[in-house]
Amino acid sequence: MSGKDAGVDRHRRGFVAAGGVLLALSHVGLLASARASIRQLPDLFSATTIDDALAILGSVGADEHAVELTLPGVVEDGAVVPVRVSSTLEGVEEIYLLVASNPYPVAVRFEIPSGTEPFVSVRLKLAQTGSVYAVVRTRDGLYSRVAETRVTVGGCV
Amino acid sequence: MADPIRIRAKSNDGITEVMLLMLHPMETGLGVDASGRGRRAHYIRDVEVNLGDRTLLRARLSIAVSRDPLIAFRFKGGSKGDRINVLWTDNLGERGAGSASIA
Repeated sequence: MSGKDAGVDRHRRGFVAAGGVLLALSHVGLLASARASIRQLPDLFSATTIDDALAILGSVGADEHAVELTLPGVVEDGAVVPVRVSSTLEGVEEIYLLVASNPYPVAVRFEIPSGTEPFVSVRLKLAQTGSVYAVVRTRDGLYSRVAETRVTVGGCV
Repeated sequence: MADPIRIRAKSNDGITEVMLLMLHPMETGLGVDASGRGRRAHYIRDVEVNLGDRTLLRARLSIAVSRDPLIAFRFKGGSKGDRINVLWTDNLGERGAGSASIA
């Protein structure tokens, strides 16, 4: 009776130990695959320069007429800058706004499902005078528009 | 639950314009408080706007969006009385939700 119990117990312990090893292995695997995916797809929102951010987005065509970007040319308060983007392009899937002078240039990404117009407006913080980029993604590629805004009081703190 | 979301949705000639105001500090985490200690970043990260089963807009925000984010967009369709639902999640896991009828 007791021998049988001990057998079950040993069996269970073996099973638990095996489970532990499996769990440890799967953790190592998960971490490794997470690291791999980070290497392949750097996080756009962690980019610290406008060049890095644009490189992560991919090849951007400059079609000045396809993307409309509206924001004040001079702002007193960089903490609240109204920005509006619209496009005449068909099949717009995403709209990005990037602020070149900010510590993390990628400010916002909008996903535009089918049936939603390629039009968004939002208020952004601008650390200092510099360029603001609107980047529009369609199924055919990326299009951008750049505008300069002079900031008299920075707004990123 | 955080402060409610103020939503205005108006339908005109088959296009509905939606305006959302979400009350949130949108703290960058880059500044320091009066005692010189660093402040913790606290900002809305994800926003989703739905009309029934239809997703109208998804947004990924960052610390560069101004305090109390105000977002406007337009979509085709929408009838007076239809309910628009908005849900946001911030970087600390807090959530906010709100809904309003199209006028």
